[in-house]
Amino acid sequence: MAVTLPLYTHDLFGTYAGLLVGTLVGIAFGFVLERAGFGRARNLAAQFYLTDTRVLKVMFSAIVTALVGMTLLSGIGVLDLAQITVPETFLWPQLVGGLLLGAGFIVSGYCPGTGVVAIASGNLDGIAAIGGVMLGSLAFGFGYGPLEGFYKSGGMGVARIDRLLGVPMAVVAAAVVAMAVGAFLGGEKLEAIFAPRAGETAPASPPRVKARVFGGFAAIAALALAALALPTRGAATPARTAQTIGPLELARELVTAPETLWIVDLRPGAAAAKERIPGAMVTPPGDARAAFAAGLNPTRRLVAYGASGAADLPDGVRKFPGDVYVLEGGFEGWTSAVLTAPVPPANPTPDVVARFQLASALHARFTGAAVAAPVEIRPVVSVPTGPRKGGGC
Amino acid sequence: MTPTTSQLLETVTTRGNPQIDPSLHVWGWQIVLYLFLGGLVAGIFILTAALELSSGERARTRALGAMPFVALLLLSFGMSFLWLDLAHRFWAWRFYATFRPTSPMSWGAWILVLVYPAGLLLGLGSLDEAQRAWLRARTPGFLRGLLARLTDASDAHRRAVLLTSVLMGVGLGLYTGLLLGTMPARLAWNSAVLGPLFLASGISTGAATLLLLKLDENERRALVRWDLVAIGVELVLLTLLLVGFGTSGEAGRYAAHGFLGGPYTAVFWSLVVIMGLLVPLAMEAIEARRHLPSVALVPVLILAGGLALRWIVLAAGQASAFRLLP
Amino acid sequence: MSERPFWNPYVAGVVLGLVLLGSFLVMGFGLGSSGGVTRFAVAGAHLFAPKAVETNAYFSQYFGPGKHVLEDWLVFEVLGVFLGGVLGAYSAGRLKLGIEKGPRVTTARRLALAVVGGIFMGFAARLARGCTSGQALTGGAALSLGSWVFMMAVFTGGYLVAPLVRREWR
Repeated sequence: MAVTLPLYTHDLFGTYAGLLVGTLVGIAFGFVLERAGFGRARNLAAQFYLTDTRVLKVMFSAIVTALVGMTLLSGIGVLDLAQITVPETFLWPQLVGGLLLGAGFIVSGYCPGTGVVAIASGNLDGIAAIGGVMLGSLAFGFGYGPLEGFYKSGGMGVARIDRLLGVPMAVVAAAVVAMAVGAFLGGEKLEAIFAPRAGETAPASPPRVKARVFGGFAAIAALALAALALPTRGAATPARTAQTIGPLELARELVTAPETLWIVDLRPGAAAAKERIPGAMVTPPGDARAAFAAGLNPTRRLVAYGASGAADLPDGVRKFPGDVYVLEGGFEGWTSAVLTAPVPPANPTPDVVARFQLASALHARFTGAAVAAPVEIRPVVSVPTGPRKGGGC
Repeated sequence: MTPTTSQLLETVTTRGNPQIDPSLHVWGWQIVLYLFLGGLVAGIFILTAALELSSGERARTRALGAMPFVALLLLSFGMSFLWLDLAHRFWAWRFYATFRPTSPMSWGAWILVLVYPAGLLLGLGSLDEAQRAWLRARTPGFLRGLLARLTDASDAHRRAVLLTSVLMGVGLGLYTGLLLGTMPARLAWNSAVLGPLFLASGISTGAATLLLLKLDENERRALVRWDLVAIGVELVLLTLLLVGFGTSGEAGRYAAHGFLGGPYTAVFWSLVVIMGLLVPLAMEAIEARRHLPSVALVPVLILAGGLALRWIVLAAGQASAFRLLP
Repeated sequence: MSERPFWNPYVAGVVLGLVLLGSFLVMGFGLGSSGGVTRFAVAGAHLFAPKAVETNAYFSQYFGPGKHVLEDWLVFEVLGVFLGGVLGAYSAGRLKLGIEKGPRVTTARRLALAVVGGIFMGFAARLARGCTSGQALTGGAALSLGSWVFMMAVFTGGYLVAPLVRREWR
């Protein structure tokens, strides 16, 4: 089985269709949250008075489902885990943020996602809560200056628990399943104690449902563990890389079909302002990552060039939804191939002459110099190639 | 370096380069609101007249009877936005010094004028006795005679008035879409489907506006039915629009790309199709099937979707300029 | 028409997990919500004070040539959450205006507390780079250490504060 997931690696959809996927995923997300009872603050608050541990049950079932699903799919080699975005770890802000968010959760009765669902079901307190979330995030932004140090503290990059422990993901997944089932049973015990005290009946799930759900978790986790015995799979799908385009080819495109190209000059402003490929866009000051390039219309091809060679592509260029090309040799390549007069070939064959004529015409076009005199084609004496020498590497 | 060649190249490549020539976005929110309100008013005319034509009696809900007047107010509001957008605001009267049968703008200018008397007659006839007495009491003395004659005329030729209102509504609704099609350089506007599409959307948003009122149950059910039909027609026309673009050569494919993978994909499908059409359609269907109480959210979503449709078509049209083509 | 019951929490959790898994398998990342809500807030603030927002050290990441603050996956996802919530609530006969609160608290107090709690959450979600959806759920499923720390902290914070606001709910 080939590595085929996640789907976005196949360039099936660009940026904008991806946003539409967001709407569709969101509809499913919102629908399920509503059906789970999360549009009502009292269902959520009950978690913290232990009369109904619905939040725990839904959240952990969801985490376990997605976790064992990903583990199994990557275990049998269908999913490339390297292409999955894992939120980065910044221990201290996440610890403090979690405490604050938990406090806000019980005070407001919603978390940001469930607040949106509360609005959708007509609960006015949801509007108040989301209004608060908006104010709070603005407050964070405007108070960011002094907070920045703390915000970036405890940074560990992508810290996956399985990697930190040095064990296969399937083992951690199995442990999470065991822990979750333990938490569910514990939660039900607590409900049985606290719900009657509050004068409510403890919510009971039918044993058949529990047996199926817990059994399903255990079975998939076991399969994922079994998949560890499979031979390891080959390399991951390569990340999308930029193609290259030669200076002469670019020059020709520029003459014949300039409206199919975006040309982006990645060199610092001063150099680019002095001399650049005709029509090239210059990175505006303060936009070091060339973010503007991501917003260009993807119907054209984007050609990026640096001073020389293939410069590191900035984020903006990488995010350009259409085809990205890197100019071979950068501006230096352009200078030597197009802006410098081509040397007439010493040993002309039809091929070489054609290339020379093209180069010469392009040189003339871009510099205004006179076109080189035609070159006479002389018969070529073919040189017999001797036996290849062995040795070397 | 000869300036000519390199300058020529520079000019050709940088046309449409956002740093040089950001966009030819000259029609902004004023036109969006005008087209939206124009369509909505057309819908109100068609629906109030059609309701009366089909039931054979005046509106049972008093608010519904007053809606033609509200519609005229909304239209005036929309036209004031249109006027704000004009470069030569005080030369607008020149539209009325001529009539050019080949120009949708000329048709539109004249329809806009004719809609007012038609709406006035439609409205006067829809009022019940109490409302008529109220209006008479507030009319200055020298106009009372005229008011009485107009009201009588509207009652006497009710069927003609209603049919004229439907006709005016259809004309107004079609014109809001066809207006855009007159500019061939705007690829995403080059479709005759835009006229009927905007008309259908206008009927749907008009129905949504009426559904926001407290209505008699029969009237409400009839409007929901009209709305379902209008939404269905709109979905078909949207499909036809995209199919038409997709099968009409390079320019059309460029226009279609804007909605099928290009920059307008997400907003178009999310706001117009899903939020403005499919979700209200599903909710109206659920409402009918399971006898749920109606919620004001459905009309609100339809109105938002209708506004989004105009906004996106206007923006997509202005972003799809002819010169970007090879 | 009476209300339809909520789903069994375990079943709802499994379906939610499948949505999350689907997001991972298609887009390569999970769900979120506070990020989208923040962008709506920033877009609103931008209407009133464009310069202040664009030059803000934190919000400047949302702006730039060719960028629109609302042109973001999470914004569309939050729009979808709203529409999905509407469909869910309406089809279950639960879509009606109301305020969720305990019997012993006034409406004004409940709404004020909702705003205050919201402010805490909005601030905390930016600090922690995500909320219960973006960190706890998504990062939890992806086995991110920071997300698990965050999740445990959320429960801890909730249980610590719950006795203080008991009157709001019980």
